[in-house]
Amino acid sequence: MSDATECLLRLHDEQHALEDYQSGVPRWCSGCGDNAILAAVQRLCRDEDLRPEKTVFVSGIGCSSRFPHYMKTYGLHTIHGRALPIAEGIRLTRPDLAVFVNTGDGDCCSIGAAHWIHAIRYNMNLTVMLHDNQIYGLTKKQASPTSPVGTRSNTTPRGSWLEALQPLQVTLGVQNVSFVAQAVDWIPEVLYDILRAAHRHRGCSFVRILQRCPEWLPKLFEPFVRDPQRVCLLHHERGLAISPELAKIYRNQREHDPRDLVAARAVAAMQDPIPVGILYHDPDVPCYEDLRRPVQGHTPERVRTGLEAEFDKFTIWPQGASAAVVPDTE
Amino acid sequence: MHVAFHDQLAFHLTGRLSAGAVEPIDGRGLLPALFAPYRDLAALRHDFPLVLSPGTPAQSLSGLFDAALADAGDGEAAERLRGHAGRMERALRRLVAEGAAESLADAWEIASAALIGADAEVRESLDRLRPVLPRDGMLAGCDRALAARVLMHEWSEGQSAKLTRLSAMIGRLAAGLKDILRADFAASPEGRRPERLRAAIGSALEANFDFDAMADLLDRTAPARGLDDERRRRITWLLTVLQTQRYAPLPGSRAMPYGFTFATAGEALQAWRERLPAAAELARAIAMARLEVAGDYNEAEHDALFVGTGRAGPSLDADAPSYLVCLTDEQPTPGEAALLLEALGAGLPFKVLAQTDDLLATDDSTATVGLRVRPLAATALTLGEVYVLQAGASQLFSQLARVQAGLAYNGPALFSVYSGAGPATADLPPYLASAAAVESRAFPAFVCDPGAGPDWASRFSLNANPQAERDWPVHALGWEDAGHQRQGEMVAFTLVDFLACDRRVAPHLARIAPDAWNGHLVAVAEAMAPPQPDPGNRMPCLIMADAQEGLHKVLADDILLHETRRCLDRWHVLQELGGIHNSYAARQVEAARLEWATQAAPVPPPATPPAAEPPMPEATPPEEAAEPEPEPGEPYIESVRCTTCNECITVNNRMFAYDANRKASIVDLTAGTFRQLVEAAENCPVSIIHPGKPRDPNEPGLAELLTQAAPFL
Repeated sequence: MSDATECLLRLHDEQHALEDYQSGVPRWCSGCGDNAILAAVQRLCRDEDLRPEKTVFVSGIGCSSRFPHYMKTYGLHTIHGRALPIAEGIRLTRPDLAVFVNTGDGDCCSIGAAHWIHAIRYNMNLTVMLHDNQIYGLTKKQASPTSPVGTRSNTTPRGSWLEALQPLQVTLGVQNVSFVAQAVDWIPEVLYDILRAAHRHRGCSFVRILQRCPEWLPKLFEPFVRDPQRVCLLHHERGLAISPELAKIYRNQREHDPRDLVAARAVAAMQDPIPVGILYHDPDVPCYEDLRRPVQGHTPERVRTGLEAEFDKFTIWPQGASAAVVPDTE
Repeated sequence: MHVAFHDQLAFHLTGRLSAGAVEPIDGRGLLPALFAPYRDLAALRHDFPLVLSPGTPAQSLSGLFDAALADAGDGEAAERLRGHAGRMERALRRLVAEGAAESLADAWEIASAALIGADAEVRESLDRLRPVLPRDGMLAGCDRALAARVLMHEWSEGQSAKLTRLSAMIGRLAAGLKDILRADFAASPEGRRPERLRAAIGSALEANFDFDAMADLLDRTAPARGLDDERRRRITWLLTVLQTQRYAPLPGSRAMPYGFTFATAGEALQAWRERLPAAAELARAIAMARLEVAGDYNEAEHDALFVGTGRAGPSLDADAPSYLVCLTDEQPTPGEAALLLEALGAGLPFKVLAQTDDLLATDDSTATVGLRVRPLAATALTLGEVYVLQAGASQLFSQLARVQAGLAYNGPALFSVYSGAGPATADLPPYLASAAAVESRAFPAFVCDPGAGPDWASRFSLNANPQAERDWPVHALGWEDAGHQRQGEMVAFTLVDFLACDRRVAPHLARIAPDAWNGHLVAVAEAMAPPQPDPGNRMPCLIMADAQEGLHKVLADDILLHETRRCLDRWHVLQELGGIHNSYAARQVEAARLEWATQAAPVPPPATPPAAEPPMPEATPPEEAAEPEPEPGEPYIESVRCTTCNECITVNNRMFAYDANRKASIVDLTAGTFRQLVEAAENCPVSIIHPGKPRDPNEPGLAELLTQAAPFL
């Protein structure tokens, strides 16, 4: 369409306010990091002017997976570990929608691990938020794959035995990875900036958000919250720019080129200080839905015609009859 | 000697030959000496012939051979392969020059039969080469038809891709519209009948379902109403328009596709006008169908935009097919030229080839010789938004990227090409004639790409001309003198050299016998370079070579010199447009230099020492934008770090509140107590609430509260 028409059509676009995306009062515990993520996402929707009826939030099971209930958009609170394949299905059939996925460390890295790996490889245009509080909260404290070694929980009363899974390192090891970032819920400005970059990236944007659980692991991130030196902000002209206000508080900064995969893997291995920023971003990785986009849509009519043609190959017609004389049953 | 000079001067001034020192050049087969190495063009590697294969841009035959031999490696076998490839390439080039073969496959067959003979090694080499070269393609030599063939080839590639895209997009929209109608039918009473449901499930599983119950169930949950009549009518109309359009007919459509190639501007313009209503309707249908399929069509808002008004008529834009007009005949009539300029000026997507075969305008009655003025390209430059490319046919391969850019440009484009295949330059291959025309500034190459930038410097370029910064390109010419010694000098290739190739110009040139050479004979560039106080003393002469490569000095008459001056003037105008020797810039530079020289001149010492000037105040850095610092003792929140955890809001939602970005701040200090401030500070998980000093000194339990608040001050 010409620019003039676009302009005229845009005149009718509505401007949205934060309230247009808010739905109900969250039932998360007070002090829960999910609140910060919700606030950042609602702000993102407003600032990017996402139309509520064209936006979907898909989640699995867990505290974080209650997220779609609190967004006044479309949402699917699905089954355990299966948020990603369902989001991919939505993306494939409705490419006009903005699709977000909210998943927890248990949902994504344990029961949904297979889907996680392949979602990264398929690189469909999704924004995936991994709410990583390193514990199963909804079921009242069991160790998750990302719980630090020695975490005492109901399932590991003597402390967990295994080293924690590192989601960033796993993701950066998968083929076709295109966007990996890490945020922490207690620096909301950076969380917002990262989510915005993730949303604008065309491909599977994987954002691990370290999130405090005040109920079951209240001490886990406390040293990092209290001491800004233990958070390392990544900045680069192709990544994030740190605002002067934030730079005064968080002086531990590091320049990191998000196009450098080897450097990204090195950064992903850092545990203390916690790296926060965009670790890897390659806008040129093709999306699965673009590779597989049919020239014509799969309409019921086309599917039916194709199926009929296939069936006809094996149909045995009565003597002298042909496909043309069989009455149409439709 | 004096007599000879007199005869020469008489010829130069009057163009009349007198017996003796000056002789006519007719019949001697003279060509400018710089052409001597190129007489047998087919034996030399150059860009031509081109190979035009479907699906790929035009390629040069020599480039294809180079690519095929890139991995040949080293050693005796590789050298042999290169040798055989070179012979094959020469044979193919000669076949094309003689017009003996049109396609690569045919030419290869003829040439390989001749080359192989009984030589098994040649056969082996050619068998290795053949698979890495394109299977087939048309061979295009540099001739009169070249420009049209290359343009048609490149245009067809882009046009078919464009139409495929358009057709696919229209197909998707049509499928989406059909889906809407189908979904409406499925939800209608007719679609919910048990028979329909049974037919949809199929006979294999029909025993498993109770279709009456299913229909009953669907009846109870069915939507109250389906598509309204207005929307159904609109969708049906959109489908009709999309399925019957002739721009990019859908697969299976019976609509006859439009043609987009024309031989005259009039025909193209007429077709454009006739199709205009259909184009507007299609563009409107596409815009409406997009909204309809996305479920965004709102009658209250969009009807006014689309129905019954052409005010904001959308266009097909980037997907719009372009119209190719090839004017390969002689100069268009004034009416035709006016139509063409009208189309170009109106910004219609016309891609026009205006080919010139003959640059020379001669008039026997006045015995004048001049360059034919072709104002089309120059006029198109002034239209502003037209892509203009002017080039010789010999440059069409080296300028292929610019040809493609012009075809892809979203607007009109004019390609002005000199073919070099005029009737009077038949002694010269068109490749050389067109290259000479560009070299001599008779037909300067330039490009103006309005899409390249907002200013003239980024749009206009002369860099396809050899040595564009000079008046004339200069080349080294070497020869062997009577004593078999090597001689040489730098020779400028001027308009006279180009004109000397044309047999109609022969009366304006005269050979000078070697014994009559004298110091008054100077090169053409030299004869016209500075203003001549005494033009009679210097006569322009050029060096030409005959078929046996013997050199001759040839005198040009004043008419040629006059035309050369006019040509140079036109070239200077182009140079200025291209930013070379720009007079405005030169004046600015001169003014700046003068100013600088004045400032640098020593200033005479003043009579009395000046009073000591007060010291300059030291530069102070501009103060940073001051942040509103909280007053000492005032409570505050570092809102930028707020994690929206609801803790403080839970304590007192009138004292604490969120801003537009869901960051907490203290909005009303009077709405709560110091105790609540301290409580909120203690609860805040990121410790960003600072309670300050108590406002009420009589608040109960103040001493204890102050102790609690101490870590947060």
